[in-house]
Amino acid sequence: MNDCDMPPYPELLRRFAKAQRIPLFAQLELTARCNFNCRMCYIHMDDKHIKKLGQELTTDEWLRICREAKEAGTLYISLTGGEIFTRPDFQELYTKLSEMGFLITLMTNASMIDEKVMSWLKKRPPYMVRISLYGSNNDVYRSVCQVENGFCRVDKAIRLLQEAGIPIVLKSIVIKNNASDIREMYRYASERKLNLSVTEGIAKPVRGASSEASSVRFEPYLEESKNPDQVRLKKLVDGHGPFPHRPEYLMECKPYGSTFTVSWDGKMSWCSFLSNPYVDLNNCSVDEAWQKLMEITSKIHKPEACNNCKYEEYCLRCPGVLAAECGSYDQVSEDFCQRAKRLYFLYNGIKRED
Amino acid sequence: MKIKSGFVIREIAGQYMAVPVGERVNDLHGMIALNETGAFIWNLLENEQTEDDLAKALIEEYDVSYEDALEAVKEFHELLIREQVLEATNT
Ligand code: SF4
Ligand code: SF4
Repeated sequence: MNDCDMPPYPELLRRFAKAQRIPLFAQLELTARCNFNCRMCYIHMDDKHIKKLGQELTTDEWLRICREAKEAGTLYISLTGGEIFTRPDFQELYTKLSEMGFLITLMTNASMIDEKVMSWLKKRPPYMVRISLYGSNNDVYRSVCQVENGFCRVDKAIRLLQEAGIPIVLKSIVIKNNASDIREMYRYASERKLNLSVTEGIAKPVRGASSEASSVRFEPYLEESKNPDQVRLKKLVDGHGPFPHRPEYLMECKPYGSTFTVSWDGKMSWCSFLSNPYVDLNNCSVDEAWQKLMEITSKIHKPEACNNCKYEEYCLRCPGVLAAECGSYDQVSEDFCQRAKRLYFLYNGIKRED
Repeated sequence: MKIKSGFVIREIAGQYMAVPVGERVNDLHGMIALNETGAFIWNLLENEQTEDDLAKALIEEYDVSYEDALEAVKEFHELLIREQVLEATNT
């Protein structure tokens, strides 16, 4: 391997960490609350619902977890929700975390980032802000997120962050309600000189949340139509061919072995879609929980049905997706497998035409 | 020379790195990857040091000649200047 073939340093670090089972990345779900009400959101809940299911961790509890995570080798922390800026203590928590030696990514819908937030955020800027973009105008935001003036608020936040020189990446989820706006979203991103990654892979709600995921899911694959627009759209949101055959189930998850997530009520898992297996951080330290999690998860297997499945190369399966879609990482459902089958036929149809 | 305040040295998976904290993040996006000697020198540089001081400290800690140690220190000094992480001096 010559110098040019060397992966960049963060990727090398990730590989070292994975090989040694060090939790380099932590995703902390600070809250399940959100000021938006996106139709496809798999996590957010209202206060009443949250109280019924558990209790959000306090500032001190998050700080304890982060101190222990640092000891265990965590470098990258993603703060996510719900919407992180809905936490009344967010400024305090972020300010303290920024003194600890992490590279912090904020995952947000950006709508609450205004001049007041910027006045403290720009003093100690995050490593990165990942913004979910749901449309290119207020009407699409109203339809997807069920809020008023959504796009204007997000656009303003993006401009403020850019003025402060804070790196931003944009992520979007396509559902039926914003599918016809994708090109405009790309146009907006390119105008702002930002990268936008689009996914149509929405998950069913997890950990007691509810959403309209099933009815708003946008699946160009499911349309048998040969409409050139559909095909272009598929390429736009997809951009890759069949997935290679995957003999090792845990290998299907790149983050496995170097990443953990903590839910709003303190449960450690390795992926935010997987509510099981988990280890409760309310009863043990991050290091103990991590060791336990690695031990439990090393024994998991892919579903029986996947062995020798003809459609595997067209299947968007991974443990987290199966958990969200089929109820558990070791279960499949007719509905889920249909998508791989249809993609198989659609993809091969397109290939023949090409 | 002396390192600016506001960095934390981390050792993760056998790798060393200097990570800016608090307001220092404004001066450096991300981190500076260090090798073990780099991390050793960096820690000493939390107090004022000359190249000669550092070379002497290196030969105490590692099995190297003064000349090799001084060369390593000079190379590292250049990296620190490039990354703009040294405190301004009056000289
Ligand atoms: S289509 Fe179903 S059975 Fe086949 S690999 Fe995917 S999840 Fe497993
Ligand atoms: S969604 Fe799948 S690939 Fe992503 S972290 Fe979860 S299990 Fe891994």
